[in-house]
Amino acid sequence: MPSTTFVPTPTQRKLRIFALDPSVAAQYDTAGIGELTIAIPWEDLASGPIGQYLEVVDVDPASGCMYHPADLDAQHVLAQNGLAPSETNPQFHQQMAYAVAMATVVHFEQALGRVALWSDHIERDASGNVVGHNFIPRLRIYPHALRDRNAYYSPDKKALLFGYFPAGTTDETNTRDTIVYTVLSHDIVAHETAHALLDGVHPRFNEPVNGDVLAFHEAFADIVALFQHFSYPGVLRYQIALTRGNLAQENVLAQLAQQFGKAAGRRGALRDALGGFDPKSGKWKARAPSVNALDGVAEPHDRGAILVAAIFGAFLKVYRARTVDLYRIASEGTGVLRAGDIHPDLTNRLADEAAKCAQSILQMCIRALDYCPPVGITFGDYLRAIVTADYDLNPDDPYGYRLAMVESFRQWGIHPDGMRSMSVEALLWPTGEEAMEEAAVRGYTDALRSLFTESQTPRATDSRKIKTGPLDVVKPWNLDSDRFQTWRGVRHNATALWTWLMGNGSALLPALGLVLDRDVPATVFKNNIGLPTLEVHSVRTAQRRSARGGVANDLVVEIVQRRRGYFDAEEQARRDKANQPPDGNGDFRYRAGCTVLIDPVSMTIRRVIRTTGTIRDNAALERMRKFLTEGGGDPDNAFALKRDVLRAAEPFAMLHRHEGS
Amino acid sequence: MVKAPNKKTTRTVRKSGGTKRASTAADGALVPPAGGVAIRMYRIGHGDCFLLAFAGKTKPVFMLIDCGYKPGSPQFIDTTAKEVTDDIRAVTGGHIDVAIVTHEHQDHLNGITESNFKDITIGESWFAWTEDPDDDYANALRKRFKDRLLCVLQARQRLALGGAATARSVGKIDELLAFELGGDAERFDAAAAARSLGASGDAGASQNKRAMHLIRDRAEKGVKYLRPHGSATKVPGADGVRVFPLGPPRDDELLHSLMPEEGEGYGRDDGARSLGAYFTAAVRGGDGGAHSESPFARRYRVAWADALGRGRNGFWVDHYGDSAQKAATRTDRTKFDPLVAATDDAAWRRIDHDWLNTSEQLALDMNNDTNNGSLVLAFELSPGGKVLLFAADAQRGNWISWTNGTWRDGTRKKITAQNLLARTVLYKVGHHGSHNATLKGTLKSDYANLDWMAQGDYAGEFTAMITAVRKWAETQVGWDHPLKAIKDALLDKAAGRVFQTDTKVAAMRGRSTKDVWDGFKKNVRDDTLYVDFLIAP
Repeated sequence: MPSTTFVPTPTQRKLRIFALDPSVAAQYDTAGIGELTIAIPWEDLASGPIGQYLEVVDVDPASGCMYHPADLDAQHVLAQNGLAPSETNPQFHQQMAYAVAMATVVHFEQALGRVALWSDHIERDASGNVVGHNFIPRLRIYPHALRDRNAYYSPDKKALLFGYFPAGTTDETNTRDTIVYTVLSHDIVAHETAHALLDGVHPRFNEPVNGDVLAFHEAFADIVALFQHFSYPGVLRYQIALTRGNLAQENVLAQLAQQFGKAAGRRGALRDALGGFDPKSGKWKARAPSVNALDGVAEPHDRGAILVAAIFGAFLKVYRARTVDLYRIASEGTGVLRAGDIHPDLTNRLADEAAKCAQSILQMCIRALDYCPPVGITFGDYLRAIVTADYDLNPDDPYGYRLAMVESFRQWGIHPDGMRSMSVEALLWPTGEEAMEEAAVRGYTDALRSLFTESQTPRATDSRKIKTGPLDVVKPWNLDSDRFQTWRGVRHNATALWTWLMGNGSALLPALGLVLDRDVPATVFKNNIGLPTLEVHSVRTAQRRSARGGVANDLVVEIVQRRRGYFDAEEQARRDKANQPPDGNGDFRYRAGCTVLIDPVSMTIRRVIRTTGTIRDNAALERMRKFLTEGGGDPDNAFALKRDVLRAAEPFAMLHRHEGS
Repeated sequence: MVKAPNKKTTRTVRKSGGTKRASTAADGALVPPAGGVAIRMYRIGHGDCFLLAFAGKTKPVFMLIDCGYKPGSPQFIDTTAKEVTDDIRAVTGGHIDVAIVTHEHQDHLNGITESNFKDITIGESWFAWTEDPDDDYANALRKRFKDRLLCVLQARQRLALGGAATARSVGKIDELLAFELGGDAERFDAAAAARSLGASGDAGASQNKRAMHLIRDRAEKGVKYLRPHGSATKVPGADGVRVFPLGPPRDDELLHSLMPEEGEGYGRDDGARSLGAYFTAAVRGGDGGAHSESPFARRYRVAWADALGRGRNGFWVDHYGDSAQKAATRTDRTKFDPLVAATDDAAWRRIDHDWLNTSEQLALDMNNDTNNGSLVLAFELSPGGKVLLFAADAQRGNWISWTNGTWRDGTRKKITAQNLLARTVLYKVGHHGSHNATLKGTLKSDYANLDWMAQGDYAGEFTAMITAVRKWAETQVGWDHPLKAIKDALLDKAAGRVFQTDTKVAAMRGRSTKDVWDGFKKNVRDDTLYVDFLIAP
């Protein structure tokens, strides 16, 4: 080791990637933006590459071979910002998968202010009973797993599987029979990584309990891919310079967004909601928002596309507001630009504004994940989550991001059920105080205080004799945490919280929409002293800006109860009334509960986010049954029933294949 | 009517088959009302078999539409295909004037065997244009079908090597292959299928193909291949009855992709052009030629055996090896935190067989393509009069094509699909009442849907027939036949007049006045083997 050369550990690793996908890099007029060098946080890498979060294992079972793992720490590789972009070198594919997935992880962590965890591996015995939850240190990436026009995240294998396939036809950008690699598309890698990250926060969001859940998963993954893309100023700069005349019409960016999807070899279905080519004029046209857009749209991608369009609409609103002054400056106050190329300085400024704006929207969308109900998210819930999360982090909103979101969602006909107002303030999730008043719960502050000050000992009647200390808030979960220790801390806190809920905390339950009575339908899952089970799923921290400008951490707690559901309504009624709990698990699982945000410093409940119904709620159960038994997910497929997704081994493989057809 | 399956049927009356049934033919005769039609819906199992008798000059004109069932389903209703075909022979006197096969699927075909059709003669045979040997497009479609079938079968065999990990996929593929290959075995026998198809892939050996050949070969007065739209077809001997084919559609986009343009320079070799072919090459392994190989240069590759073979260690064993391989090479496992060790590099993260799941999608695509290749026919009893709509297993893709053209009626104005549906008084429900085979919509929708059917005076007479054995379908994964929402919509629209293969007439409940219901029942005759329904012109 050159011990006499004194150099600090690097903070960043620079790696080259294809900016969009190889076909764009191969076109003469877009060659300038074909490649991109991105910086990701430094970590020592083993061959693979294998780091703290990701492991690239390049096996190609269809071809019966493996590809040598790339060593990105090799001297010559480091000196050249990684391997040069190449379609023919699988080691570059490994590098690009690592770089883009890592960049997505970073966006996620920055937005949430804590390290990201992958969803647990649930270990089962031979008869299918859960024996344990295991920590997943690294998401696995298989860059050449499939010979198919498909790429997906496998929740079971905790892996991303990417396919490759021959280009079907010869057109402007493709030559027939040449191979297209999905792993070389920035957007596809970011999209799949986003699925995995979302699964890490909300493992229940791949259970289709209503028409929005799967659509949300797809839309969210696309939003991440899209706005991550826009956060690279280089790509935007080129396009903004190229289309100067059209820039005043906001649809340029929308069109760009859609073309990213197309270039990636996907049908771009998710982004078709943004617009399309008008056959009459032969020109691209943005689709105007419509309050009826969601009516009768059931297919997850089509539905998800509308959510993407709504969020993109908000982005355009803010972008326009933020750049109008630049136009005035550049046009001597007229707002009308002179003919010819726009000034490079203006291009740079516009690109910077667009990038900043994209970054903000992306962070809003990610942060909202901590403000979602634990199961059965709807688009309306998501809007409330976005608005509340942003309000709690930035009480001031000088650029009007929240208003832009609300307005855009309204224009696309997305609204939470039963809201009497669509104003920003009405959309905020209720505070603890409001929820307690609503449920007439009194004196909850003392009960809550005991969570932090007392050792949690279960009541004598409880079967689970777990003794824990007070809720452990000493170990912060932030961007510097050790992920394994964090994971352990989460489990410790969940146990402490569960114990508290069964004891002192039980006074609060009515306000949280949780039921701890003996008098519930027989189909509700119960513990062995006959009370409905409470499951505390996650205790994590969420960042918030305190009143005086400092950063405060809230605890995010998800609590869920479950009940057996039956496809046959009569069977349900019969089993609900029975004296004994039924054998087995029923046809499906109906879950209800809430997400609670607790401020450990002031020991107050900041937000209560309940599912639509409680575990007792027959109407909510009936809605779920109706959703599962009526109709199919895919109108072109006789066997794709929605309820089959419940049983599917690879839920995202099913969804994504459809997209590629 | 619905019973638990009981293979040891103790019925003695019909044990002797044809002769017994023949003796009851006098009371079981199928006699159409003057100028009308009598429809016999056989309770053959989960599948389609219809015998129509149109009023003819001297004797009824008999038309058979399909004859098949899902193996295992007849036991739930205590019938057999042989009893059905014996009845057909007895009722028709051994001569079917027109035999129609709507599409080549097991549950529409497997009742058609040499022994079941012994001593039955056929006048004309009708198929969809997709069976026409003189149609280049149809030939290209069938070739693609054959290629895919072989690919799926081979992939299925490789997938089966995965044992328990792949059992679910294999089961799903078997279920789909059974449709395409036919036969009456309850469990699909892949090995036998592979043997019968052979390496050359002669799908002609499948039981489906044999049934198709039987119907084609017995046609004394020729074979007709029907195309949608254009002109109507006559039913020989039944004056005034006209037949309007609504589907299957000719998909121009697909046509384009299957038929390379002239002078394109690529030749007609299917080669590696399609995704399917590229996948197939990998499935075939060594025989697949250049395309079975990796797309990357040799210098980057490590052969599977070299990476994971006995005594190896290093990257691949560490990160992709199974536990046995790792135990042999890694002695420091205990140093790892046990919680991490449980998931790090574990065997359950391997993807050896995942790529083969593409074949499940291929099989599903084939199934959907064949269903959408259904011959959909509208029978008009008299010019401008009542219509019977037989939708076979048409799915969405077929339905939305019905409005792509019109029919000329020779004398008067053009006839549209909407017009035919508006006059429909009998609807043979698409694909056992599955979710995407009866389209939902409104009168204003721009595609054919249930709401278009039975308008004005025809509304009071609307009747539907669902070919499904519910109790059997419940034993299958993903077979919600009939879908409750669709059945409810039909019961509503038809005021209770919805027949179902497994349902006795006595169990049907009217939803309008007693007079109307009694009037309807006068035209119905129930039997354990079938239900008859008469429609006056």
